[in-house]
Amino acid sequence: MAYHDDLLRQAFDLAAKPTQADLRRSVSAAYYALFHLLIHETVRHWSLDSSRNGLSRMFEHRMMAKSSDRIVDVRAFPFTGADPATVQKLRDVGGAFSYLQDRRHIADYDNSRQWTPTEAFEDVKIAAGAFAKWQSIRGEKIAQDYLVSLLIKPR
Amino acid sequence: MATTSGSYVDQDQLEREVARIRQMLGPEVVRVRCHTGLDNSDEPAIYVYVVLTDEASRRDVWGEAAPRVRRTLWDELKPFENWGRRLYISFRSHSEYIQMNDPLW
Repeated sequence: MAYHDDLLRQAFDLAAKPTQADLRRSVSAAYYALFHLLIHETVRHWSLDSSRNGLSRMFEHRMMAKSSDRIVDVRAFPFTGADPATVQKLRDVGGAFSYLQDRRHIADYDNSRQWTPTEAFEDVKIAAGAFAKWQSIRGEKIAQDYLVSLLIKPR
Repeated sequence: MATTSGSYVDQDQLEREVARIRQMLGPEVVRVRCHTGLDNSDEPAIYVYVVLTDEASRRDVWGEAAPRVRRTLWDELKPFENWGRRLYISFRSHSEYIQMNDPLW
């Protein structure tokens, strides 16, 4: 099983446990599951296997969130001519990434915030939903363009 | 559908919108509250806190209630997002709401 799949499973497992540490780690793992899925999907196209880990380290959280925010913006990215169902799934994946990044930040750093199992479980479900949607669109051009945008700063 | 007339969204305006949307949600929704603020990227954000009945919060039925509520809120609050507000929606069960006694919720 790939690392991102392990992380998603771990997120589900932790969301069923009672302590704040478990719940916060669950939310964090949900974000990192999606983070690593998208990186995995990008670098798998790099033909030189020995370089993939180095390429994986080039991704930046904030840059990935900005790219994800952009594809959610209907006005900036209308995706004219693309299949509407595919576009919606891609927007959902991008939206999930930005959402989970914010949640991860709260979960990891905000000690004033108390989490409940329902909140954590819902966030993990969002990550799982993004996984499923990604699987159904990963071969589409707009999905592949999105992956490139995660790594390359727009001019 | 909500409309906004400028980039500034005050709490009263937002609460009126949420009260309107609340009427569109099913009996599984016990309570909805909302706040404006900045998210962790310092972007303007709307945080919506939804309390579901314990029945609707059960994990075996969770796949139905929460996404439906989320979609309605998302669609109806979209105009606020178009004005540059990110939307964050969180859910708690009624039991959790009582137990946590969190003033934000």
